[in-house]
Amino acid sequence: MATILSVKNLTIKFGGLVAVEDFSVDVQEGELLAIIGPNGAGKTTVFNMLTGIYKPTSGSIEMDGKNLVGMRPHQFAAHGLARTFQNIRLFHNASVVDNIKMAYTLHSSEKFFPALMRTESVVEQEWELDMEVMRLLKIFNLDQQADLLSKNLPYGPQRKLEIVRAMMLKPKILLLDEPVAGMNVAEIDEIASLIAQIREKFKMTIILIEHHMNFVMPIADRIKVLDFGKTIAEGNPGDIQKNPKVIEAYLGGGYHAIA
Amino acid sequence: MTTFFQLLIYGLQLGSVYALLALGYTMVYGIVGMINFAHGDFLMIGALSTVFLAMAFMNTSSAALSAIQVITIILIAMIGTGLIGVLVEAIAYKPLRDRPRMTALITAVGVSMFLQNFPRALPFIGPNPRPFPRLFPLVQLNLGGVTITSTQLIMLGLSIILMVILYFIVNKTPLGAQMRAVSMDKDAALLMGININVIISLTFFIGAALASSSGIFYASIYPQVDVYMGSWLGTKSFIAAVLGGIGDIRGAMLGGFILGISEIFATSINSNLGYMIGFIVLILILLFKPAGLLGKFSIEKV
Amino acid sequence: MKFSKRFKSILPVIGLAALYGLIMLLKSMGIANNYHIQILMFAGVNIMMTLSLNVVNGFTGQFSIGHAGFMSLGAYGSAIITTLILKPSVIPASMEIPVFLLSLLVGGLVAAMVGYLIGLPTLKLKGDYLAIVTLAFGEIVRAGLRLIEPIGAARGMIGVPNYANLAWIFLFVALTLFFVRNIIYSRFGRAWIAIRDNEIAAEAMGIDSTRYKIISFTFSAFIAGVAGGLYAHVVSFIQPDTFSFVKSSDLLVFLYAGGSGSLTGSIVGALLLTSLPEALRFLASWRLVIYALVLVIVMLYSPKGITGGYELPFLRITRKDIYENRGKKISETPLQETKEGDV
Repeated sequence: MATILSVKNLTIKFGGLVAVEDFSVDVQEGELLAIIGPNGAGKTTVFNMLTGIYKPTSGSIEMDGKNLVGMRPHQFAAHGLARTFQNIRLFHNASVVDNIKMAYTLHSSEKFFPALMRTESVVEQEWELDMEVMRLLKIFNLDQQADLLSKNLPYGPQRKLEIVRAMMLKPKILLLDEPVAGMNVAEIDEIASLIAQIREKFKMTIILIEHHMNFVMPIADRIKVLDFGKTIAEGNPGDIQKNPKVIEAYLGGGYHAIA
Repeated sequence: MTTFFQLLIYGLQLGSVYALLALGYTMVYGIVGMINFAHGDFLMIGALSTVFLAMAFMNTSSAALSAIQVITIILIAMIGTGLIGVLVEAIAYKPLRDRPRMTALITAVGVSMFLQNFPRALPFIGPNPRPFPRLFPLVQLNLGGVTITSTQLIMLGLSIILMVILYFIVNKTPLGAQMRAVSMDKDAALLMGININVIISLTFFIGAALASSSGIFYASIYPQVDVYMGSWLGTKSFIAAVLGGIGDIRGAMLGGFILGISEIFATSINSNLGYMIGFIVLILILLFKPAGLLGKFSIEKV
Repeated sequence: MKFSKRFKSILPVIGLAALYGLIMLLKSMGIANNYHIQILMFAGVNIMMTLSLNVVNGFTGQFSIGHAGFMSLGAYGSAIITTLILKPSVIPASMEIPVFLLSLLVGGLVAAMVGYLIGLPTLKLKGDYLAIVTLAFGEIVRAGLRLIEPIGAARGMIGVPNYANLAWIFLFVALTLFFVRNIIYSRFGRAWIAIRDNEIAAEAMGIDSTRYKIISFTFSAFIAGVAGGLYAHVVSFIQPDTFSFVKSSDLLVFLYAGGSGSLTGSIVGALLLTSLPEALRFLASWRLVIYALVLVIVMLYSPKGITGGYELPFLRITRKDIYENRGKKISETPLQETKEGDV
């Protein structure tokens, strides 16, 4: 396995407050890395740095031998980092199909003037894109809702759509920010099998943030635990479960007990 | 050098008009998050109602207005305009609070159109400009070649007093604390038991009353009143509020004076340049300080 | 199949031609007079302006409130060509139409270029701040035009040849609708809508928001420039003060009262609200009061505008259309499983 993302000493300060300190990780191709930790530990902040939404105060994010720090979010996406959001951020007034097509903008070769005239070749491209999107939706069982406005989808499918949309970017790494937040048991199982499917079918490398231990433990290859912005533990799920520091962080933080 | 100070005085007097008007924009923006494009028309209502009030008082006493009468007129005009502001908010803006911002903005354009054209259509007001009565004594003082009139001194003094009162209300009173709470977080304010509707109404009342006073002061320097006078003064004061940092009352005052002074100096070179300068200053400031001079951007939570 | 596809695509053209024929018929019968035609021409220009504004405000979710500035640049740009440089007295009559079209192109390009230049630094500003800068831009253009003596300064330009007639207006409105519709249903339109709905998500999905905003702004400015050019050749007399903030706010009213984000809304809004004040002329000075009331009531009770988000069939492109265009039926298109790593 090769390292495809190398993060070194990522630190970010807001005002005088250090939100994340010295976050380092080498992500291996094909692995599923989970980042866990109590509320406010800085997990989402790490994601925001890994996708260019926040610029770290110091540290580096290397992909393909290039440091991405300082680039804009869309450039992070172009380098193969696609994400979902904790508070769902779909394009609400667009249909399910269009939501996914929007994530194809980067790869589309449609040119402005032909698009203005809607030439035969543009129609052809639109047709091929539509079929590709429909195939993807079928894999994830969303093809029946294709023409629905995304805001009219129920909560569970909205989360799923966000993942499918990120897949349309054809990323190297998929970053999932609390993919099962607010879901019931059946829905959680569905997302777990969806993630398994993505790994199997697309050999996707995944980084995910989650509170839900029952969800994380069986699927993660490796876990990093954050508390107050610092990495307090790292290892395979079995080790993490036994680590006293982790138990302390969770119980001491008054957060729900580790399962 | 005398010219410089003379222009500075004109700049200050115009700046105080802008500042008073900009305060209303900035307060409404801070509390409700909308640009009230009809705000400038409150200035016109203040000036116009003063014309009629003065006429009424002069009929009864048939002599020049006494100081008490002037104060009464100003107070009636301010309170009356304030109430119109409350009414406008209740009828036109309140139902739109949870709608997209542009909806409220377009409604404000409609309200502004109404506030201008309704008096214009009334036979006893009409479209023609009318002279503004002299409210303040006119004594000229000469300070080393620089002329200051008593009108200028009185209006500058009054506007500074009004601004100090406002600053005191917002920062030192329980009412002000509630206003600040609503502007920071409406939901939290609601949980704290603050009556948001009352606070919003009060904000419109204060904003419109200040606009009314700025109208009276403006018409005291340029003694002509028509139904459209509020629209372009409003636009400029809005610019002043933005360049100072919209949502911040010190920003509105600062922006008002910067705009007034730069406009007077630019106008002394060319009148079109005078008109443009405010916009140019605005764009320059926003390019370097995107939230205005005293404004702060909050980081969007992702 | 082939024939019905062809027929469907030219149906709007036939409809438009029929509408034009009807108006001409009404005119020859004396029911419609030159005044009505004039109002219709203004409405056409306003439809173009509203569509232009719709691209930026309705589809890209940015707030331009100074669009009259672009219109004035187009009006002056094209009027300078036809009135000062290639004026009717120096060109043969046969060249009038080419010169007219050239002038419209120049008007559009001038506006587009300025749109691009001011978009570059300002589109980073968010929401209301962008709005106020566009307002400032419009007023700076107006005050600037008042300073330039060769184009009549504040007095304006008179004697612009009245090349534009109703047929030209019809043609340009139709072209604008065609182009705007096509671009909305392409990569570009989708990127704009993504930015409008959620800019952070759009960026995270690889959409370069600054670039697409600038494309939107420049495209919109071009349309506004051409519309301004047409306007100049309808009225023959242009003045900087015609293109004041009042004009910009009229356009905003057309857009939002008609329904933003809908092309049909722009047509209905511009057409209805251009003719309404004319229809209300019998009310004399009460007319603008009524107009203002109508506007406020529409905004209060019809949040999506008069059209409520409805789009005429030929102004949208559905997925079904795409498949039919390829001679396929959407329901019959096989959706075979993707091969591994295909996505």
